[in-house]
Amino acid sequence: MQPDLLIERLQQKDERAFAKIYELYSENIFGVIHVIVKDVAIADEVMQDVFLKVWDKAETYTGKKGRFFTWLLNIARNAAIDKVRSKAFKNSQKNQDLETFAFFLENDENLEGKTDSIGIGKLVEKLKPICKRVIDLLFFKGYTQTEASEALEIPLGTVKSRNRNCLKKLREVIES
Amino acid sequence: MIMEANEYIESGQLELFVYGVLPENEMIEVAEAIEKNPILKEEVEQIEKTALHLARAVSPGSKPENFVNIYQGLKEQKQVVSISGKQNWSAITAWAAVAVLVFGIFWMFQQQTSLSEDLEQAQIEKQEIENRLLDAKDDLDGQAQILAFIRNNTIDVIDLPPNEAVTNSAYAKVFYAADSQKAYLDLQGLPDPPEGMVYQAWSLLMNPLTPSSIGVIDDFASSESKLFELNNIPTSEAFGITLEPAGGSETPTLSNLYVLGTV
Repeated sequence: MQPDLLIERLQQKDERAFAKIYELYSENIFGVIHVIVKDVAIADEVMQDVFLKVWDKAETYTGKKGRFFTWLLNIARNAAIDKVRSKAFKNSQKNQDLETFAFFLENDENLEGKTDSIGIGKLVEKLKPICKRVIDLLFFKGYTQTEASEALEIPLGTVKSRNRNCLKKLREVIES
Repeated sequence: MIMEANEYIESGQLELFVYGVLPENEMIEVAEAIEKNPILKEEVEQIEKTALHLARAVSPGSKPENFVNIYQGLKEQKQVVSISGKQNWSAITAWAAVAVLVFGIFWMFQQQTSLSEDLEQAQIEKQEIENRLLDAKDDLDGQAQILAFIRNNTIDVIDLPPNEAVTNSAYAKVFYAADSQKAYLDLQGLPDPPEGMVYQAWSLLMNPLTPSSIGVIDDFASSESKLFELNNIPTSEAFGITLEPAGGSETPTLSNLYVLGTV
């Protein structure tokens, strides 16, 4: 369920609604940002920009073009990708070659926050490498189907169904 | 319709819709479709839930201060808008109203603070008055007790005249109750002892001359009445008072014997 009433109040610049929206989504958004920038301090910085933008541009959200979470996700990914492309970031970054989001689940020391309350991380571990990459590129990095098919060297027509099958395995834990 | 919905679901289009990676026209198309079809809507919500969980699971935990910073940024943003905006009278009026309100709240807060300070002060004063009242009552009780002691006809009243070798102006009085081994010294006639010195009272037996200390008067200066109660007085034939170094001495310093009197 999407909190439509809260979203409406946010669009009317209600600070309490904003605080509630932050509470509902900030940790998820932080997860996405962190997968892209790979640095907690930079992720903090990006997240602040993202939520200021959310406050600023809230009235531009419309359910006619997608889910509210999707709208947040796009703002967050774009801000994080901008950060990664910035010169300052490139100069400071050392471990560029981390593979996918799964890296942060497989390395416990990277997960001090321990926000995986239902154990989705365990399922991620069991995913095939191609699944990890598909989800990483499409969901976390916001690649289009074409970009993903090129990056993964798989036919364009199979990107969607592969992603669905991969994500389905993670849904088991939620639906059980 | 169900068949169509299943095809839609199986195509994997809904996942990409939730990810937000479809071209704009397809995003609009899916949004319309899910509005019309509750099965699709349910499916989208399940996908979203999975995505939310996944994103949350990889979060290393954001700092609570982030929200504080964001909230501050939000306030600053508002201020920038109000300064750079055109002359918008309704906004100016609103800000003026806010300013008046803020000032009003501040003023009320100050009033309240000063009131509570006054109240606190009044309470301190009340406590002081109560304490003084209690002290006075204690004094009165003490004096009544002394009066009762002095009026008792079993006591001896002994005058201690000055020892002229040391002083000729000092004098003291002892109210001595041999049966209860209790005495009150009235030392009003003694000068304040010099700093570092105290008066010490002695009980004396004459033959052979045996002095026993019956009390060191270390609160002479602070006593208003200069009346001192002493207990456990041994059988005495005479009383004397000497000036001794602070803390008192084992034996009397005869060169500093101020007053002496026999029972």
